[in-house]
Amino acid sequence: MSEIAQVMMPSGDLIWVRVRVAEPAAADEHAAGPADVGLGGRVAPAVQALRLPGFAETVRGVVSSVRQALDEHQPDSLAVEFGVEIAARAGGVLSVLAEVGGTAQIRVTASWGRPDVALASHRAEVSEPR
Amino acid sequence: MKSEDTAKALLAACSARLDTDAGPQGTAFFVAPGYAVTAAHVVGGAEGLLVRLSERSDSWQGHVADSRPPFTDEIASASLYPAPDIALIKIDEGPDHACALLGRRLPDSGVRVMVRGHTRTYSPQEVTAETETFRLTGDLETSDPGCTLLKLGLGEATLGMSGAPVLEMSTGEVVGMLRTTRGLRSNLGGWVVPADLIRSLWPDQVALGNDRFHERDSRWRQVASQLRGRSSSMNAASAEGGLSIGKIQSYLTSVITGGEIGVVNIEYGPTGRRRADQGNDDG
Repeated sequence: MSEIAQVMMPSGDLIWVRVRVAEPAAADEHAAGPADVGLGGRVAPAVQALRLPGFAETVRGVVSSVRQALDEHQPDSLAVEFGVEIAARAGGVLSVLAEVGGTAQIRVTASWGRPDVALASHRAEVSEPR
Repeated sequence: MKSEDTAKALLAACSARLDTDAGPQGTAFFVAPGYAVTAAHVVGGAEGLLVRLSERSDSWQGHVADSRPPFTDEIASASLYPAPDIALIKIDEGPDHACALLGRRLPDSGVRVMVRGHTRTYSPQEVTAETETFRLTGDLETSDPGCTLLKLGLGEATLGMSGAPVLEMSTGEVVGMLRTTRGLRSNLGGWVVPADLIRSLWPDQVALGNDRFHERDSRWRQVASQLRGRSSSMNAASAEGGLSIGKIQSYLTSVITGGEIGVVNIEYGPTGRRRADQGNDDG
């Protein structure tokens, strides 16, 4: 179940995002009982834009952790791919690492131009705390 | 023309799909010239929010002029939008349109009604119009002492029907606006904001506007009268000197295919629809 909501980024920019609802929602098709039957779920008004706590911390934390992990290998270039999912909870939204098949996935690609370094790439997967 | 077909045509004449910048959100219907209503949760109770209504080739731009109740932080985390859950939309731009004939009294228990909404039932990737019939099964008091909702049963209220008009099939009057299902993927029906409450919430914009529209353009009332006559006698439709089935079909065709239904009268003749001068409708 997802909803459309307007979210304020740490930069102050307002963006529309489709957020995953972390708790049972009114329009959950599998829920029993009364439910509002709009098509797009609850739309948060612009004047009540939800702030997005944890977004900058999430991104910074992942990038810093990867850099620290490879610090001793001193790669010439480093690419980190990960998804950030915005999840709605009562009274607000949270940014969390996106789930793929039950795990939060971070793809790390490191490269070295020097031939004496054998390690060409490194990939790590971490499980999202439940 | 069967009463079901007449009901569908009347509903199609007054209802529209509602979109925001975030995509399709549900249904709305016109209640007075320049005004439509939808469920407040469809537009997030966001006064000032820009919306687009569309029906076939026609489209209208508007904004949320009022929401009952307006959005609050408490509502953001509520499972259901509080009663009455209705928003008034001011049309800023678009062609003239027909207006639903809003009822003044609560319908009798057991009456058959039809709803027309814009849903994803046919395809998750596509929004299409869908009708469903129900029976009025009772009413439901809410925490708002001024708001008692109508309960529907024996039909499926599906996602996208929020804001849809509910038409009593034996009278041709719109008796309310669908807002909530009593159970998705079931025939439990739904909840309806009654028409008399919609009138009372906005006495100038809606009640007066609706009355004036139907005083100026009596065709919906004539079709409604025909439906009432048909419900009491199957032979009433062919009464000599009355509104013929052909005329009803012509009217319904005219309101569906668009045009200045609100201000221009239609003459009915063997060649179909022609425009005539402004003034009283000739039926």
